[in-house]
Amino acid sequence: MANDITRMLERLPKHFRDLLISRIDQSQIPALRTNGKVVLEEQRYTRPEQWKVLEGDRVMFAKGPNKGKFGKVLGLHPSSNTIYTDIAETKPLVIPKQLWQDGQNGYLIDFPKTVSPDDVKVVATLVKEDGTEYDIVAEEVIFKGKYFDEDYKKMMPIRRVKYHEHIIIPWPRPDPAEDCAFSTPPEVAEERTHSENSILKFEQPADFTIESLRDPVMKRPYKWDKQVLKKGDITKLTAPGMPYSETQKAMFEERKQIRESQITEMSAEVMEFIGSRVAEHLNNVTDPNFKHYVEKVSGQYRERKLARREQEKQFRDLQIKEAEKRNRRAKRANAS
Amino acid sequence: MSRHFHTTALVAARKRIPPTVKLRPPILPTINNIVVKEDHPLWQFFHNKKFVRDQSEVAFTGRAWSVQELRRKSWEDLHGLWHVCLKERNKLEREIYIFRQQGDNPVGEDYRRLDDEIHKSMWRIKQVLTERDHALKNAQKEFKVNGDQYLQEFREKYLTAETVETDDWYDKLERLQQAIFGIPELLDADFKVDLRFVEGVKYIGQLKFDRFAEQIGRTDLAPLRDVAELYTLFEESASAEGVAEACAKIDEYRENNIVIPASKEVQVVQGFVEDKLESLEAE
Repeated sequence: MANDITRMLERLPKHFRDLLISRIDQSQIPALRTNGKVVLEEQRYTRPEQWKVLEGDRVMFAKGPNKGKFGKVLGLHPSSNTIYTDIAETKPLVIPKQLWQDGQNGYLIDFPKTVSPDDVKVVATLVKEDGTEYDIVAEEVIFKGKYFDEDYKKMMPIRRVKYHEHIIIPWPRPDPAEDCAFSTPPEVAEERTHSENSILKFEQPADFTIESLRDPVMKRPYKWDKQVLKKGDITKLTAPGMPYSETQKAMFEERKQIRESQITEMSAEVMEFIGSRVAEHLNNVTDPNFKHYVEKVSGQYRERKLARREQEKQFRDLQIKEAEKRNRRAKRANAS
Repeated sequence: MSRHFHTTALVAARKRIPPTVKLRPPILPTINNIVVKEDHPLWQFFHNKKFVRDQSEVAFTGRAWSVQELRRKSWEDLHGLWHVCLKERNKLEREIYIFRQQGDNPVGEDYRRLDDEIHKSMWRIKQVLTERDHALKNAQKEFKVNGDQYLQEFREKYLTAETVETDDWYDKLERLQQAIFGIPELLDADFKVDLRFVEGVKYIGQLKFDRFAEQIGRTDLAPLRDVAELYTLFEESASAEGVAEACAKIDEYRENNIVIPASKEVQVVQGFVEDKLESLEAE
């Protein structure tokens, strides 16, 4: 039922979802209230990269009343994306009898509060060259590379200190999991008992049809046995053309042709033609002010102006040098 | 006939217990008075005949079967696993129902998680079977288009190979028989020969003859006349000696001057197969 409710909640808009959660909380006993800390199923952490710390890690608290203290991660709480730590604030909670743990003898217990994994920083132990050990606190961790962990029995990301990627913080060793009543021994699970060896039939009985796997009373036709495919179905069933689709390729080709057909350099005849027309127009100018302006903006005017300035500058430099010489001479005369 | 309109007294009189009957203390309705047979089929919905298991009994440390693991498993294994999962889920479903009746007791969450995990295994079994079915259909469709070309290519490779009297080539021939013509390595007692089997016999027999006829100098037998001759070649080993032996048998057979028509081929091959099985049994 709880699963059904969370699934139903996830389909609702946020404002309505929050309202419903608060109403559900009101109807619950305090021990079972979510206190608004429900994380939707799709937002729950599932990978170690998201958690950043796992059960058994040493951490330093970076926020809250325990700020600066060192502790240990005791477990993860996936439904709220938080972690249990060995030093934590507690709140009194009344527990119904059917939820009592071993050794509990009263209704009231001090229940530890959880901490967000963002509020703790992972502690690593490093060894100096002379063999002494020292701890570091990683401000931030990043994940680069993967390896198969024998104890976790899966690929785990390699945890490194950000900006010091040579420092690897190993994952804590998990408690060895014992086989339960529902476990299958690995050699049985890995044993191969099937191999496709004929295109006429596999080993299934002759009267087996794949349709028999479906619910016989289900009216909806099987979604991939469509007689007529719609546009959306074709999009789903067609693998994306990498790196570009045919349409994109056609567009690139068209653009290339346009680019090639454009003239970037002016030919000599065109330049001659344009020059002659401009010269003709300028020579026929009668307005004296405009004539002056045209002379001013022409290339020769600018060159002459620059030459004049250069000359003036040289002259000024010469004057300054002479003045300095004069001053030095006068100083010497005064001193003597 | 009553002279009164009321009948209650008369009805009550019929029900009145006669004084001869001795009253005994009432039998209280209790579960202990109900005896259920040991082999009652509904016991399959209970784990060790327990009403509800303890929480510790449904605690699990494993995970569901992955699709990759299930792909390696035979039909019998998958069927067995499905059956086990189904029975376990029936038990769990009943227990979960009981917790649901208790106002959604949170203890039921553990049972539900195990139920979800088993459900995962079950849909993955369906996934694997669907994959196999589609693979089979695709292969058959593909073979209709490219089958002849494939067989032709195999034939060319077989005829042009330096030597085919190796274990590698024997295995290849065996796999081809099994994969395309459905000719198993070991025949069952009630094996039914079909058209495909006969096609395979013809293909393999002709292949062996074409490869070794020149080597043993028996090209005079070509063309081979009917399925009986091809079956003789098919049965012998794929080596020069085997084909030579088969050719000797064909010589004997040709003295009879019988040619088997195409309509009788399946029957004839069925007869050969049965004869062979009988002779094997006699040994």
